Amino acid sequence: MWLPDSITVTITELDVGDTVLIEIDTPAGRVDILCKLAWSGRTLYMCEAHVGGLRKGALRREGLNAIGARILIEAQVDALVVEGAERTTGAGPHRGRRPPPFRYPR
Amino acid sequence: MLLAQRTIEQPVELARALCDFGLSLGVAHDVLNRLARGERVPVTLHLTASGETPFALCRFGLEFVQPAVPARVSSALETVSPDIRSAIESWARSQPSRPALDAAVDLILRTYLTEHGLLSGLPARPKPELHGRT
Repeated sequence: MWLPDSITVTITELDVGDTVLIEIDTPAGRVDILCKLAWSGRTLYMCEAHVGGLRKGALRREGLNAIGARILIEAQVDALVVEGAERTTGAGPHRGRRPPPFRYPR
Repeated sequence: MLLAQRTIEQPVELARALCDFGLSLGVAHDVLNRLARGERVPVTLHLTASGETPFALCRFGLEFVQPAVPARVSSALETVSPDIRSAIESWARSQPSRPALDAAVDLILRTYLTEHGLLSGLPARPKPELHGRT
C-alpha cells in the first residue's frame, strides 16, 4: 500500500455551493475529483462525485484506501464518505445509476 | 441544449471544458449531473476569440439538440379560437408586400446605379415581382 506521504491532495478550484475540483497526485498518476463538499460533525462528505484522470482499475482498492487515508489526514476528520454521482459510463442499466457510497473511517 | 448521446468517458474534463465556455464550476457540475441522468440540458456558452467552438464538446459524447416545444404550448396553440386565428391572418395580409431577397438586391443595385448615372448601358430588366404575405 502507498504511504500517505506519497499522495498529495490539492483543491484547485472552489465554487459557491462548495463545489470543488480536487487533484490527487499518486504514484500511479493524477486523479481528478469533481464533487460538492459537506461536513456533518467530524465526517466529510464528497457528494455527487465524478472521478477522472486514470484509466479504470488503475488505482485498485489499495490505492483508493490510501487516498482516503490521506484525505482523512488533510481534512482532519474522523470519517470520509464518498457518494458518487450518476454514472456517466457503463453499459446498459449501470449507466445513470448512482454507485453505493464508500465510507473511510480513520 | 446539450444531450449525452453516449457514455461520457471523461466527466471531469467535460466540466473543465464547460468552465472554459464561461460556466462556473458549480453550474458545470450540475450540467454534468443532469447529462448523466439523460436529460436535455439548456446551457449558455460564452465564446471567446481564442477559445474552442461549442462543437468541441462533441468529443465528450455530447450532441446539440433543439429544444422540444412543451406539450402544453403546442396544445394551447391548437385551442386558439378561429376568430383569433382569422384576425392574425388578416393582420398579416394587411402588411405591405416585400420583395424576395434576390429581387430586393436587384432593386437596390438598380436604384443606386440609376442615381449615379451608371445604368444607361445596361439592359432594362423586368420590374421585380413582389411577394406578398399569405
